[in-house]
Amino acid sequence: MPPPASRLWPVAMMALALAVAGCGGPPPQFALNIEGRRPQSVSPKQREAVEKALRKLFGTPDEPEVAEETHLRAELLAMAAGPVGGDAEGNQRGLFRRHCVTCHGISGDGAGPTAAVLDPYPRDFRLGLFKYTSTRGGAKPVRRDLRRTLLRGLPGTAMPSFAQLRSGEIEALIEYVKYLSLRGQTEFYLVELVVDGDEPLPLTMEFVVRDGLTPLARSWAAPEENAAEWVVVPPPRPSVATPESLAESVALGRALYAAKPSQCVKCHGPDGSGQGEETELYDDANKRKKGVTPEQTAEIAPRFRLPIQRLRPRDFRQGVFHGGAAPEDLYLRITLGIKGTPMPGAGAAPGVRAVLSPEETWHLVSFIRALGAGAEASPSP
Amino acid sequence: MKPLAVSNDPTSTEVPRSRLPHRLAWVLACVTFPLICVGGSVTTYRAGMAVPDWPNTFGYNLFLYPLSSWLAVWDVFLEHGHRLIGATAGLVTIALVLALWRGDRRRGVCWLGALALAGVCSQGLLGGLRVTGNALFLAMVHGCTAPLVFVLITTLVALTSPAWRRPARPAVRPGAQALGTIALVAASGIYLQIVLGAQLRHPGLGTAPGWFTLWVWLHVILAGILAVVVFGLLRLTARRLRDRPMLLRRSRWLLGLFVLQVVLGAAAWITHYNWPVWFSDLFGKIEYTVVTGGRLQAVLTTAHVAVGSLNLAAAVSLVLWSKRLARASPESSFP
Repeated sequence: MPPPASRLWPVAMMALALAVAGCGGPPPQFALNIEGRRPQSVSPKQREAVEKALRKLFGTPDEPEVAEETHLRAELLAMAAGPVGGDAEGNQRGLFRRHCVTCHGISGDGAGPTAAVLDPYPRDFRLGLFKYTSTRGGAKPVRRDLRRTLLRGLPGTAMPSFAQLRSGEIEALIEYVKYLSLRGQTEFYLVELVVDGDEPLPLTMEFVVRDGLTPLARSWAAPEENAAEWVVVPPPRPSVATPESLAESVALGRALYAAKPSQCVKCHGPDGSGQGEETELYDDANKRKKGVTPEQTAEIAPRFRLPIQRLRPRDFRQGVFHGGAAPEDLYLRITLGIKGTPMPGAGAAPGVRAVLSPEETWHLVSFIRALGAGAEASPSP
Repeated sequence: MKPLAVSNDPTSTEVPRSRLPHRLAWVLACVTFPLICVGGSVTTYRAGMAVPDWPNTFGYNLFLYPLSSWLAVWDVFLEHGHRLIGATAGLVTIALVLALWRGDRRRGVCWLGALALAGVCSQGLLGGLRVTGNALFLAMVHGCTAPLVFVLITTLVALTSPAWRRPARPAVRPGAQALGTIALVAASGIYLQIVLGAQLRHPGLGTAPGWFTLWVWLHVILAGILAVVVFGLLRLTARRLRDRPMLLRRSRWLLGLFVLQVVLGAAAWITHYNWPVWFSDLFGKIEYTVVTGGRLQAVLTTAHVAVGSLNLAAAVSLVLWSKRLARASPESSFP
C-alpha cells in the first residue's frame, strides 16, 4: 500500500532543499591551460604563480578586470561577462554565457559541453588565431572581422549568426572574445615562462605586464591603428558582366587552379572535391595532438580535452564556404589564407612575394564559384 | 439516489456525482500545455533570467506588472507570461481539487487531484528557485518535472471522463494486459528521452564534452528502440484488439506523435548545430546558416519539447485505457 501523501511531503521538501542547496555551487573559474603537458610537469607552486598573475591582470569570469595596457572597455566586458541576467528595459548581462559558452567553454578554449559533437570544433580563443579575417598573415583580426563573423555566422558550421542581437550586445561579445583571447595568450606566455623558462618565483607583475601583456595587447591594436599596412581590401573585380567575359575569367582561373605555384590541387584535388593528395591536414589546435606514430598520438590524447580532428579541405563543387561565398570573401581567403590552418595565402605579405596577382586571384574566384555552380574542373574536350 | 461507497482505487469506475471535475481537468490540461510551450520557449530563447526576482516581477506583484512593460521586451514577455499562465494553472488546479473532493467519491482520484496541485505548486517553486538562485540545474529539473505534472493532469482527464465512468462488464483480455505493459515500457522510455533532452538543453558550465556526446548518443539510440516499441504497440493493437477502437486510436496517435517528434528532433538539431558532417558526406552539403533566436530555431525546438510531453501523455493514456478496457466487454459503447 502506498504511503499517505502527508508522509511524502516532508521527504519531498527535504529532497528539494538538498537539491537547491547543492545546485548553487561556487562561481565558475578559468581553468589553467596546461593542455598538451603532463599535469605533473607543472608544480603546484608554478600553477599558483600563473593563476595569481592571471587573476590580477584579468579577474574572474564573474568579475573581469582589465589592465590599462589591454585597451579593453570595461563597460562592454561587464555586459558580456558573469551570470545571465537582464533588466526591465531588456538590457542584457552575461551575454557570453547566454550565447557562446556551451560551445566555446567558460575559458574560451573551444571545448564547451557541445564541442565534441561539432565538426569543425569551436574556436579556441586562447590561441589568438581567427580563421576568417581581412588582415595579413600573423596579424590579429580587426573588430570588423569579428563583427562580420558574429552577424553572418559561419555557413555550414554550428557557428550561428547573431544578427538578432542588438548592436551593443554584438560589440560586448567582440570585446569579451578579445578579452578571452588576450587572457589566453598571456596564459600561454606565463606557463612557458614559468614552466619551460624556469622563471624564479614569485613573478613580478611589472615584468609580466612589460614583457608579456603589453606586446600582446599591441598586436591586437596594431591592425586597427594601421589599417593601411595590415588590412586587405579587395580591389575592384574585373568585369564579368557578359557570359563571354565570365567564361574567359573562369578559363583563366581553371588554368591557375591547376598550375603548380597556386598549390590548390594538392589539398582540394584536381576536380575541386576537397580530395587532394594531402589528407593529413590539421589546424594549429589539433596539430599539437598529432604524434609521430599512431601510438604516440594515442598516448598524448588524454592531455587534451578534445580528440584530434582532421581538417576537411573545402569541396568547391558544393558551393558552401564557411567564411562566406561572396566573391570578396573568396578573394580574401585566397589572398590571405585561413589563419591557423594549412590553407596558405597567395597574396603578398611583408617580406613575401605574391603567388597570385590581384587580377589572377579574381580569375581563380570566378573558377571556384563556377565549380559551385556545376562547372567541371577540367575543360570539356 | 443511493450514495456511492468511498473507493481508494483511482481506476475505479464508480459514477461520480458531478461532471464539473472532468470539465475542469480539461481546462487545466488546456492551460498546462501552453504553459509547457511557453516554458520551452523561455529555454529556447535563454530568457529564464529575464526577470531577476520572484515571486514578484521587477518588484511588482505578479498580477500587477504593467501591461506596457510586459509587452515591451520579448524575453520579459516570455518569462512573465510563463509565470502568469503558471499562476492560472495553479488557480484552476485548486478549483479542480475542490470539485473532486466535493463531486467525486473515489478517494484515489481525489488524492491524485491533490498530487496534481502539489505538482503544480512544486513546479512554481522550482521555477522561482531557479530564478532566485540563477541555478541552471534547477532549470533542468523544472523542465524534467513539467511533463510529469502534465501527464498527471491528462490522467485526471481520463479518470473523470464519462467513458471511464461507464460500468464495465468483466471480460479478461490478455491482449489488453500485454498492451498496457508494453505501453508502460514506452511511457518510461519516452520520459527517459525527456530527461536526456533536458540534459542536452541545459548543459552545465563545467560539463565535459564527453558527457554531452554520450547524452546525444543515448537520445538517438533510445529513439531507435522506442520506434520499435511504438510500432509494436500499434501492430499488437491492430492484430489483437481491433474491436477496441479507443485503444487502436490511441496507438495510432502515439505512433503519429512519435514520428512527428523524431522529425522535430532532427530539425531542432539542424537549426542549432547545422547539418551533420555524415549527412553532407552522404548527400552533399546544404548551405545553411544557424541563426540564434531565429524563428525557425525557436518554433522547431519548442515544438520538440512540447510534443515530447504529448508523446508521454499519449503513452500513459494507452496504459490507462488498456487497464480499463481489459476489464470491459467489446460490446461496451465506448467512443
